[in-house]
Amino acid sequence: MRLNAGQDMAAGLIFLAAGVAGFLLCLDLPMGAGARMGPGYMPRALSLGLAGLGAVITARALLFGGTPLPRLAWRPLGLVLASILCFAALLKVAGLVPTVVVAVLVATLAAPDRRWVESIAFAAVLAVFCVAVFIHGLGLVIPIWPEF
Amino acid sequence: MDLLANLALGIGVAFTPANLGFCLAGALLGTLIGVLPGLGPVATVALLLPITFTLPPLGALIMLAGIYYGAQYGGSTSAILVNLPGESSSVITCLDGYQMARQGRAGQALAISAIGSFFAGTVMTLAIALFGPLLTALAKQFGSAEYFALMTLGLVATIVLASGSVLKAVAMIVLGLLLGMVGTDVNSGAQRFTFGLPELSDGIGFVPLAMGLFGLSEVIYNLERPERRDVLTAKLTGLMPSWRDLKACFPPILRGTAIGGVLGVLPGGGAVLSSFAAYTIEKRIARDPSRFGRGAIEGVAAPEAANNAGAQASFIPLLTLGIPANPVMALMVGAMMIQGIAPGPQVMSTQPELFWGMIASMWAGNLMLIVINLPMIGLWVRLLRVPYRLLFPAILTFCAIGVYSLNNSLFEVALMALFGLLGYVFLKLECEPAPLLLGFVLGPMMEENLRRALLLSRGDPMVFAQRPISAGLLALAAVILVVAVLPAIRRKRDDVFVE
Repeated sequence: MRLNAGQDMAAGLIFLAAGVAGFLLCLDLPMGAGARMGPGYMPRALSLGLAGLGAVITARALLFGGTPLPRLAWRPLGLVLASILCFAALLKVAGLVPTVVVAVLVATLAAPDRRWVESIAFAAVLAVFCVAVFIHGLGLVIPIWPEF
Repeated sequence: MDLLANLALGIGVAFTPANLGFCLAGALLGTLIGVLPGLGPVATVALLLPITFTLPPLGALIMLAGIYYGAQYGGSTSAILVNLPGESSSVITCLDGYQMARQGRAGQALAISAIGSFFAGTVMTLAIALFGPLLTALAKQFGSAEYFALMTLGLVATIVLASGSVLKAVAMIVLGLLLGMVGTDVNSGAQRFTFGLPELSDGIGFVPLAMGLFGLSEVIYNLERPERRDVLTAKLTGLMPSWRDLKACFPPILRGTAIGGVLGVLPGGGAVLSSFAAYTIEKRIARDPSRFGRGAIEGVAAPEAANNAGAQASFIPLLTLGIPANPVMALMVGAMMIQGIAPGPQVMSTQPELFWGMIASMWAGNLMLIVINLPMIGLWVRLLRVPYRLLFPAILTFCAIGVYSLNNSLFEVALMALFGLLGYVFLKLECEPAPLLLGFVLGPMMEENLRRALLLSRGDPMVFAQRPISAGLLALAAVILVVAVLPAIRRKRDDVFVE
């Protein structure tokens, strides 16, 4: 196995896995016949196609090599996703203001040149702005503060 | 004159204070977000989509169109002032635009780019008004087989546009089509890939998918690269290009408009291809090609005209056939559906005010870009100085609130995070997300048309070959696919993307 083929091989394996998973997941959907396509017809055809393409991409990567697997930047990746998930987890419990502040501060951890004082002030300003625009301006029904 | 009557109708609808206001707000907001480095038109439109949902349908579409032009123009602004292309279609503008800026001619570069865009926009507005009805008449003869063939052609064309491996682009399309299958099957009511989650029974939300793939993944990608921004500190001296500049730019603007108009109509074409092609042609026919890349004003004028013409021409397949030619148009389809409008040829006859109003507003939008942008350049420059460490948490917050506000669903916010992860991984693996988005939007439509075509032909797949229009479209798709795979063309295509 050539390690420098990592990039295409990873892509190929993802497609292959998605295709196989898709195929297995729609096995119990009726196929139907050509004239009367059932709900399983397209998903099955597409899953097979995707798995096939994934296999070809993987095979080509193994045979011909290619770009090595790039490094993932785990820190920004994890923190950006964590910021969004914090938002999803907190909004209904804590209300908009605390949620925005937490989401902003979690995201700020991902900035290499972060300055806490500045970011905390900014988070507060942004929270006020969001309340003004989204709750008072656009009329979204979101609690502003947590209910006790 | 039908054309004049139609345009008059459109102007009557679009030039009401409210709709002009939506147009202005769209153009302003689009520029505001588009100017921020690292946010292209797709991300900008996806980001701002939720604020249009509360508007009436025409107002929402006018605003979205305004956002699109604004984002495009904002991208050019950051390309010229900071040498940071906000999006792929302004990569080309960086070449000569930034050089002009370094020579103290940033004002002229921005002005000529606005003038070129406005000229191209005016011509394309007329072209849409002229050709729209013709194409719509043609589209009315389309049956399911033709629609299926046309969408196939559209998907194949995105492969040519996507940079990098053809195989990976095809796989991304198929994955997109497959993601489009998630939810309740319209014909049988069967649940597909829903894992028993009620949130998925209506399918994967379009906005969380688009925002995750294009917005979040961009933010993560930008964070991992050290920031390099050299905002021009020199004062902008003079805005208006000299008479000599204008005279030199007129032919390139004309050529750029023509190229953009033709390439933009093609499914999968649009702004990026147009600006690349226009620049290449100008460089080739120039008397002194060595000036290009060193601040030649023609090198700004032609691609800017071309990308605006292309952006606007891509509305033609959307408005007449209901088929999105590029990811931004796919977002427009999503917006139209949320407004309860099924995009397609029937829009023009059943809702003429909507169709013509939108066309008239395109012209208004282009005019506003000139009027608002040139005096506001100072503001954009200041905005460009806002450090990314403050910018991106704000972007993330707006994404999250925007997605949540659609259906009051926190599930969709989490779904956006998932697609952000997916988008970032694909970015790292050099799999372009645009074909996936197009496949996702077209998937359900394609399945429906395939099903209907096969039902009518009693299961005979030859129906696609026997009907001339469908056969022609499929043949064209096959040719494009073969050509894209051919090594010689591939190398040329790569050149264009590398240049």
